[in-house]
Amino acid sequence: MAREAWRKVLGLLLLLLASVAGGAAESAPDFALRSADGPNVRLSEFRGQVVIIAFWSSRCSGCDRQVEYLDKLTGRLQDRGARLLVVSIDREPNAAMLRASRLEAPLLLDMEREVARLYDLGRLPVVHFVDHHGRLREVEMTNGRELAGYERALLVLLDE
Amino acid sequence: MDMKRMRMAPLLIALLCISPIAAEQSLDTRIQDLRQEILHLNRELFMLEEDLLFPANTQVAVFLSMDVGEFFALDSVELKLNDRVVTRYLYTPREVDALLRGGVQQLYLGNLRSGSHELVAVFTGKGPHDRDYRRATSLNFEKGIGAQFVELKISDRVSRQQPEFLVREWD
Repeated sequence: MAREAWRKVLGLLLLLLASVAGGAAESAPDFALRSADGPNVRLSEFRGQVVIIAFWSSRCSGCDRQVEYLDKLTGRLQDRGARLLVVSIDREPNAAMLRASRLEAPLLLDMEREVARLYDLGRLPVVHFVDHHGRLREVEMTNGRELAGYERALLVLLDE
Repeated sequence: MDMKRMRMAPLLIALLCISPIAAEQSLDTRIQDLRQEILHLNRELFMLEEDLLFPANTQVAVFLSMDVGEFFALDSVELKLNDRVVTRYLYTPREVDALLRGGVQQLYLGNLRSGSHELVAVFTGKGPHDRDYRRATSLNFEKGIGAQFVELKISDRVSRQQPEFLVREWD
């Protein structure tokens, strides 16, 4: 019995070592949120697709341009498995509701900011890429001048 | 001598072509074996972790199931144990569909000491006529030695055209 337990602990250590040695990407924290004008959405249900999570707020001046760009980009690449989830951190859902009507992608309401905390949100705009295996792959912060970089990053992940 | 060499040439070419393929196949097999081993180890580690974190003597598990669902569209469940929120769960259409097709969800797994406890479950969703619906159900139970299993069940009460929320202990 003790030998069995030791074997399991050893297995765990080996797995940990393997993940460290392989530079394994971190799993994207899973979450479920209500959307502004549609059904509830859970991140893990998009496993197998490349997901862009864009945090948004009505007070963020750079967010609108970025989200509009990403919405068009993922709309164009949807057949290849690209998806966009826009997460609003506004306490009041009204502005988000208005914004959602102009987007193809679901706008999710994180009024309690639980997901923002989960993703350690420090500033806006912030975009996270989640690959086919549900791993966080790249965290980019932009002031809106480097939008083309998102397409390049997305295409690389879609081609994997 | 030259003729002999010429006869050997196709054989050598074939060998040169086959050996990388064979090596590649062998590598693929080894990778697959390694993957299987990792999956197996992961499963064992998960079980070990469960045993360590939730010993049978203090373990309490709450499950959720749905029957029909004509009068209620589930949105979320909040679970309180002894007045403390232990979990909140938001359901996607896919999860609701899985429950409606007979799935049973483990909503909560935790530890409780022996004695009297109160469990309260608050359900939200859309009720009859697509109205917002919020309903709570509770259970007072005695936790003894051994694992305790509780089931929350949502079903339709056809006679009253209303959903019904049941909570019961599993024997």
